[in-house]
Amino acid sequence: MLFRRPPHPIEAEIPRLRRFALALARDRETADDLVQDCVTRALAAWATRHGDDAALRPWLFTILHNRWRTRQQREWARPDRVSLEDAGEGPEISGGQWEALELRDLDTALAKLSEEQRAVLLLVGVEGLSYEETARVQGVPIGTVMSRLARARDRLRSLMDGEPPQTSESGGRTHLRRVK
Amino acid sequence: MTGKPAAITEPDLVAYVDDRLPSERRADVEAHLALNAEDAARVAAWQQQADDLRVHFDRDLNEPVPAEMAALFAQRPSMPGPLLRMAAVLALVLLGAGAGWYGRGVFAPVEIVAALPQEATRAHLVYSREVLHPVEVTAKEEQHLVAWLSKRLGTALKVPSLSGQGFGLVGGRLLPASSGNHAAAQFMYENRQGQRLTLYVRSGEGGGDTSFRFTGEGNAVAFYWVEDGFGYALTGETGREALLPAARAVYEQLTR
Repeated sequence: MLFRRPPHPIEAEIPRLRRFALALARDRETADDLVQDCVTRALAAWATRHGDDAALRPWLFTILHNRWRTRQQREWARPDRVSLEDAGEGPEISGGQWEALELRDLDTALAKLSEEQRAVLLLVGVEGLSYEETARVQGVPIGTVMSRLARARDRLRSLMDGEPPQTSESGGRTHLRRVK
Repeated sequence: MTGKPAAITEPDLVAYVDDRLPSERRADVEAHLALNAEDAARVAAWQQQADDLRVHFDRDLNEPVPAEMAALFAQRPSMPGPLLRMAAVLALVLLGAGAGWYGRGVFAPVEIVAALPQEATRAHLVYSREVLHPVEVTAKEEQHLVAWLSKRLGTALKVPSLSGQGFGLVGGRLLPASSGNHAAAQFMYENRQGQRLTLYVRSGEGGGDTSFRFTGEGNAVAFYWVEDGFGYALTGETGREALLPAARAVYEQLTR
C-alpha cells in the first residue's frame, strides 16, 4: 500500500525549467516567476496533454518559451522599461582563480548573445533536444534553428577569443575584459 | 575514398558538432575538415565551446527547488485530516472493453474478486463512450476530485500517472460498488487517439489480497488485484500486450 504520492513528472523538470528561464531572462527573479507561471499552466493543461514522457520536456519548454514571449511583448509595450537584453551587462570580473574567471567570462559572453541564441545553445547543446523539437519550442523553422546555432557559436567564439580564431594556447586567457 | 562528397554546408558543420549526422555524412565532413583548416578551427572551437557550456549550465541543476514551486505540487488537505491520513491507496484502471466483451464469462478464479473486473468493465463501457459527460469532476479540479473520492471511499486516493503511456487524466466519478454501502471510484484517461482507459477502485473487498491478475479475451482485457480491502483494475481494448505496460505502471505506482 502506498502512503506517499510519487512526485509529479513535471516536478522533476523544475531544475531544467529554471535553467532555461534563466538563460532567457538573465535574472533569477524574473526567471522563477516565469517558471511558476509555466508550471501552473502546465498543471492546468496536464489532463488534456497527450504525449509520452519523452515529449514532456519539449512540451514544458514550449510553454515556458511562449510565456516568455508574451512577457516580452508586454515589456516592449512599456517604453519606460529597459529591456533585460540591453541592460544585461555581465558582472565585473574581480580577479581570482583562472577557473572562476573562465566561467565568469563565459557568463559575460553569454550575456551578450541574444536570448534566442542562448536558448538554442542550451536546448540543443546542453538539453540535447532534437533540431525539430528546438524549432517547435522557439516557433521557427528547422533551418532557422541551424543558422541560429551557427551564428550563436560563431559569436560566442569571437567573444571568448577576442579577435576571430586566434587559437593561442593558454595565452588566450589574458583578454578577459573584452568589449563587445 | 572514391568520388567527391557533396559540398559540406554550414548545417553539416553544426550537426557534426552536435553529433547528429549519419555516419556516412560524418565521414564526408571529416574528410572536408582534413583539407580545410578554417572550418576545422571553427568546428574545434565549437566543440570546445559545447563542452564548456555543458559544464557551465550543469551547475544550475543543483540548486534547490524554491518552496513556492514545490507548493504547486503539494496535495492540499482540502478536507479534515484523519481520513486522508488513514492513507490507503486505491486505484484501478480499466481499459475500453469492446462492446461485446461485457457479459462473457472471463472472470477471475476467486469469487469475491470475480465481480471486480466485471463491474469495472461495466462502468467503463458506460462512461468511456460518453462524449459530453465522461466524468463528474474534470482533471482541472484534480485536487478536489481526489479529496472528494478519497473521502467517499474512506482512503487517501492517489491517481497514478499514465503519461508515460501517452494517457492523460480526463477526470473521475463516484460509483456504487456491488456490496453493501461501499463506493467505487473511476478515473478516466485518454490518449491522443481518443482511446480511453478507466481506473476503477472499489472499497469493501472481503477476501484476502490477490496478486496482479489478467482477464479478458481478444482486445478487451483487464488487469486487476486486491490489496488491503480495496480492489483495483485496469482494462482496455488494446489487447494484453499493449495494456500490460500501462497496467504495470499503475500497479507499480500504487504498490511501490
